[in-house]
Amino acid sequence: MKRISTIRKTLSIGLGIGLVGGAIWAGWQLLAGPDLSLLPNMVSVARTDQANFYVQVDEVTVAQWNLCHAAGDCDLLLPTPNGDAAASYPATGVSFPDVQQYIAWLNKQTQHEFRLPSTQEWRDMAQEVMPEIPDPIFTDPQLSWASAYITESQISRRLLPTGSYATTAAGVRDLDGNVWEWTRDCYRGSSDPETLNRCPAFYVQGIHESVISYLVRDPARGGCAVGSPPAHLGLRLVSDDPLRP
Amino acid sequence: MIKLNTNAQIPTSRRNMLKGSAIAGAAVLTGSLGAANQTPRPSPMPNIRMNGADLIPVQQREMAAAAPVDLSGLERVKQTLVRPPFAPAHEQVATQPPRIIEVELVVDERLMVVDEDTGASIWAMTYNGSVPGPLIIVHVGDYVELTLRSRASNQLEHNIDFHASTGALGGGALTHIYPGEETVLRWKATKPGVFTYHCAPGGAMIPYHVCHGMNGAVMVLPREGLKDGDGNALTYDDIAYIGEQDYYLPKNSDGSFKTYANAGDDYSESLDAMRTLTPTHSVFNGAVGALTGEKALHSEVGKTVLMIHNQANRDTRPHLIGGHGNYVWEAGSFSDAPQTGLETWFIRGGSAGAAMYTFEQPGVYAYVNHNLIEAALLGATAHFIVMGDWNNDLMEQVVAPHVSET
Repeated sequence: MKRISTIRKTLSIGLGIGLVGGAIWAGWQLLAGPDLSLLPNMVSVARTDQANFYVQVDEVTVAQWNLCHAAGDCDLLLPTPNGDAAASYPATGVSFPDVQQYIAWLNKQTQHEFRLPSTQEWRDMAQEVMPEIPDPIFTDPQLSWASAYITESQISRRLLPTGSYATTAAGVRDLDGNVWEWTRDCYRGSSDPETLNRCPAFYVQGIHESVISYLVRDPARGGCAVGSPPAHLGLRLVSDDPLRP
Repeated sequence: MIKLNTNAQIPTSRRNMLKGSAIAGAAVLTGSLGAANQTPRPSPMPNIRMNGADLIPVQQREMAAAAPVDLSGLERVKQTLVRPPFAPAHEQVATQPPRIIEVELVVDERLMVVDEDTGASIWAMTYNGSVPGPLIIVHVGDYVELTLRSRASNQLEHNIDFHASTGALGGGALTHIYPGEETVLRWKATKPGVFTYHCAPGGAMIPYHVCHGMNGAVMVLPREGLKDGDGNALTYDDIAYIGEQDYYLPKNSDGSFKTYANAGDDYSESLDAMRTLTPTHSVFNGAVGALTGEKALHSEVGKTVLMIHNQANRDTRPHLIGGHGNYVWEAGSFSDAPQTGLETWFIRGGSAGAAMYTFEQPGVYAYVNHNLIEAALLGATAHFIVMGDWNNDLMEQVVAPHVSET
């Protein structure tokens, strides 16, 4: 009996400490405000028919992503290629839900509104560094299912460090690299967007536009899939507002 | 190397030195791995006894006693081998009497990228620098005279076992060579069909070499060419020579693939990975994507392709998505009538098979190992791009996808 009460007392003390600790943490969060150290480098980019918006200079890196994992808000822990510095490689192998976890965490921590770009916004920022679109290999309408097959030699699929590709005049890097970036635009075929409450696939953008099922982390080559799927899937965030100083 | 030699006998020849260092090197690697893991597994030492080498004296005695053969009346022809997926120039129907076909294979140990996406690479052991080794084509009754040469920069011992040949472990016992050496072997093609060849230096070195890409195929055509079950001639416009390779690449603790400075450095860890019987990659022609995109195979409606599929180690099941196997020599023997109209055919590990198809529709065809996990996740996919006119009688999209009423 005595032992049980001791346990109960210990538990309640523990609970008390936990509550007090929690209150202190919450208070510290309020006092400390947003964690500005997490703000990424952004540049202002012109947009079709709208005011300028703000674009991350680089794709989110492995180091940035793993901070989210360390905080317990991103399920995925990303390895670094070849054991190199995590800060120098883009975060890849991430699905659409993974990306949403990262954005939710970053917005919570920084109290800023980051989001994925739309396909049009992505085209706006990338247009000047995009390669010419090769002619379709089939022109027969019956073969439209196969016409996007790309046989021209393109860039290597080997993942390279951040900053290995072109920089736009606005200062955005690696848009023409081998990491395809998730957009927020849903691909629904002929369906009316209003009739679906979930999106089965999203546009991803890189040196050619592609559509990827939301669950895919690695668009593996092969199987029945026709065409040249993206080499790697990553993300770059944008914002409608400039960063607070 | 110097340290190992002080523990071993003083080498009396380069050959002994190489053998001694290979054995000692394997022991050192196994020992250090066990210590690093703190949980040494009681895995037996790999058997690297040179089975073939033991047989050499017996073979030589028998050969010395054998009646000589006079081939002086036969014409000699050099066959220039080409890189897969292509086939050397050849006749489908032999117009000449049996000949001696001279071919050369150069053993080349080289670092090859298996998958650009992950950076996975392997110190491949190759015949003529490619995985698979080049396709050799002769007719029944011809003699294959092979010059096997090993580059001086290589690290390991190599040889070759031709499943199409007869005697001496398929030639394996007579062709052991060390870096900088060469040997010549002649064998008579007596069985029509497609057959595997591979390196087989002995013991655990056999799967080690085969799983590092050291295999290829020989096609022995009937002198009168290929026939269907009723004896009608079958001809092809092109050959697509596909070698499927299962790789077992050692990984780091974070799941990335290990890299090594030299051929052979991965020996101990490779054997551990191979013991799982679970390949990390299963690819066509040496690497993921080696036969897709800009390296896809090309054909036309109305053209006939003979797809030769070699797998020296592991079972596989080719399937042409959107097409068929019109005539299939599944086990590779051209003595048997081909099966017809197959959807998927089975290639036993340690054999080659052939399937013939005439394209009827344009578009893109995927040629896969129809274990689709291996096709999509491990790399076993090739693509044919076929030009021509679409046939609505064979297929037509009647209603394009649209919003359903329900």
